[in-house]
Amino acid sequence: MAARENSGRALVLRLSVADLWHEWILSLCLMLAVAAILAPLLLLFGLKHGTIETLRYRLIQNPVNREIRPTISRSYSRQWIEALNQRPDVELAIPNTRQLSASVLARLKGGKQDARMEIVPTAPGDPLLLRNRAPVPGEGQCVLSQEAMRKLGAKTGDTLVVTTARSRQGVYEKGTMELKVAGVADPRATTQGRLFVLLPVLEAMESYKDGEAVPRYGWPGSLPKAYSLFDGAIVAGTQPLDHTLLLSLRINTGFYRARAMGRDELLTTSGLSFPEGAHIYFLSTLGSGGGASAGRSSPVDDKNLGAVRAKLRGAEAGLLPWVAPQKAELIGPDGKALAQVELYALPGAGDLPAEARPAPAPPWPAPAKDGGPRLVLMPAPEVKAAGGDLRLRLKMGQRELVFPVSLTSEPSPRPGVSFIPQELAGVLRLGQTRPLRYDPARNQFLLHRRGYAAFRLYARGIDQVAGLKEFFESQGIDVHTKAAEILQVKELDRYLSLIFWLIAAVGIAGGAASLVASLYASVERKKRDLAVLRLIGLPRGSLLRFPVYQGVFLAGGGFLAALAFFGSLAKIINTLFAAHLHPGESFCRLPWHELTAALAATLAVAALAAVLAAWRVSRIEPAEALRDE
Amino acid sequence: MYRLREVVKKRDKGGSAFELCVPSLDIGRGEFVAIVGASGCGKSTLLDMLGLVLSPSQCREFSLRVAGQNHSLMELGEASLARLRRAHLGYVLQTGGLLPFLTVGNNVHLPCRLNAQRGGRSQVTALLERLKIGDQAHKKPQFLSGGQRQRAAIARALAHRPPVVLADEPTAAVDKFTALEIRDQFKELTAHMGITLVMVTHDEALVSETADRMLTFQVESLGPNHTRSTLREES
Repeated sequence: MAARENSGRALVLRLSVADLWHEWILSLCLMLAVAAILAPLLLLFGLKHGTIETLRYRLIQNPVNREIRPTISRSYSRQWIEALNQRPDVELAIPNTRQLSASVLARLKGGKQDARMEIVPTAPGDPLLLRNRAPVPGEGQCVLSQEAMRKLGAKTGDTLVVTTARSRQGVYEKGTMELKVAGVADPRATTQGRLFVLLPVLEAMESYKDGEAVPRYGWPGSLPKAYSLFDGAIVAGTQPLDHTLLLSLRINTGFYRARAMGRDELLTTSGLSFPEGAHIYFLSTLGSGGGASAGRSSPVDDKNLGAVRAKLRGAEAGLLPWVAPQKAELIGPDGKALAQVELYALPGAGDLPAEARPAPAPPWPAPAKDGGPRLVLMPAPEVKAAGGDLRLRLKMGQRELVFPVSLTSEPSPRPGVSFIPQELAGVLRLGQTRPLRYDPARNQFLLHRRGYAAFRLYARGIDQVAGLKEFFESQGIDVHTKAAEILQVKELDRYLSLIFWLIAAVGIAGGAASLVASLYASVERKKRDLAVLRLIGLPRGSLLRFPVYQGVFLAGGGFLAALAFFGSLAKIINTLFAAHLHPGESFCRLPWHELTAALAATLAVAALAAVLAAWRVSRIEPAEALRDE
Repeated sequence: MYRLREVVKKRDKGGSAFELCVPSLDIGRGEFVAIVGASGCGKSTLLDMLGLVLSPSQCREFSLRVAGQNHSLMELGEASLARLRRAHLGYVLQTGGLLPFLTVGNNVHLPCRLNAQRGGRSQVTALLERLKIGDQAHKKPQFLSGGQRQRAAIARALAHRPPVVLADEPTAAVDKFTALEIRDQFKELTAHMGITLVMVTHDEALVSETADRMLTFQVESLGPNHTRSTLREES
């Protein structure tokens, strides 16, 4: 039975093809009619897909439209920018230095003419370069903007000599480096003369501008040595201080409070024991109580101490800086923590009168001029440490500072109190407010860069720009975005798509109507043949298949003809406009899946039209069709 | 084969009612039955009913006995009727009713293919030879003369060896001489194959001598726009 059904199906298929072949001129006409409907529609869709998608893609994908920059320079920490990079709506955030450091002179190596260029930091994955057919430069390399290439007359592979300048203590100085041109970005990246380099190059230039040395490029300069900060000061003398003088000590000195303090309280606060008979006063800063943590305090520096010293001139009293105790770990040679220690600052005698000097006296010599603080620890008596290389580790927020330390032979006289030189304590106190690093070669604490003045960020897509803008504004950061332009582009895109779909809808409706009409007429014409087939016993279902097969064949043939027409015209259009296209772009193009969809839609409409017509025909009694002559 | 009792078919054409009555009709195996009458007397309507493409308006009995099975035709659906037509009936239409897009050979072979009969080809060739149009097998019907076309139509009606063949004015479109020739070939073939032949014609003289039975109609007017035609058998 199934075989019979199959053969019946094959029979109907053969009969319908035989009929088409028999009337091949008419069939050809119908196919051409279908092709005449389909070809302009295919062309319209090809143009929409090619032109509009290409333009839209360029517009939307242009990274410039996804760029976000802060309008004002502030200090953004590396961690903060790193956190931005972790956001799902951010493609890349690149730290940037101050605008001032970014201006350089560049010339072709061996050339004479210098050109002023802006130097811009980049990073792996920078869409501004990658999407503009340029690589991300490696170390010692740079990528030029089109304008920079023009001004310098350079090309990929050339070497540039880049000069940055600074004025240090009235002396004009220049630092130069060589950069190899790794590529040139398309003009749409920027219209300005720009050199794209990796961030460390700009960091070096910024340091150089700040007067610092950059050994990597052989640029001389000073070292960004860490200075000291203090949480308070102790005034000690042999005579009581005049009340007015005491009060005046907190005026324009950075100190918040000045009061007399007993020897016992001072012992707890500073670990120092002052001789009986000494008159002691404690100057505290805002937020620093006696021994309180320096969480929200505003520390003072040498300048503040100098101001107090100036006021004390003539009084029988001297001044010692005070740093709130800091917790640290003492680490043994094996890297394991030996003990938790609380570091108290141990000052020298300073300008205190001999009768008011505290105990203990520091067993270490005063620091060398221009040298760093001495890295010595007078451990609390309970701290047991064998010999070997010891280090101290301090946690400062999320950072850590580790440096070597040696122990004094005598322990501190008081349990729980470990002393370090006052200069070292001051530097460590600074480390709580800004990043420091210990430079073992120079035996110095150096200031790490504070942060970055700006950043350049790319949203993952143009749809994320508005949200990111809101995020930054909620953080109090005004940003430059192309949000307004993006809105325009999106609206334009929406309207264009709408217009195209309207035209296409009219075309499709007209095309479908014409297809239905052609096939309906064809079925109507074959009414008698269909009736004969029915008379000799072809079941109704098979009878319906006859025109459906024909409709599908005619529409399929028409589609092929339309495709041939479309293909040749698309080729002509793309050739004509080749000059305006990037490789891989075309003005007129239909992807396979859309072509398949168009074919499926055409065949479906054809089959439906044929079924409708055939169904109507099959409802007529075969007898009527037979007598209809 | 056929058994009809009190079969009535009512038709309304352009405001005038027409009623065909068949009080009683039995058609047996191998008979050559001619239905004769002027146009409009209902002979085509009767043929269409016998051909299972038109159902009676009312009837007491209307059955067809083929292959040892009795089919009460009023109770069958369109699909079953189509199956009966395909397997057990053959048709010859006034102008042949050949499909224009198939060659004569393929037209004649079509019923065999519809019935999935194997080895129909040789039968087709033999049939065409006997009808003296063997040399036309590869031609399309449009290139045949009227007589050749009607012979091809007869061949197609017989190709799958149905027990019943129905012919509707098979010789109306050919000249008298050819008509006689075709009539004789048709009768000879059906008689040889044991096939029941029901032929409708307006030309009484053509069949009066050869047919086993002659059926005619008695037409009476029941009103200004109402005609009744009753089948009766001439002896």
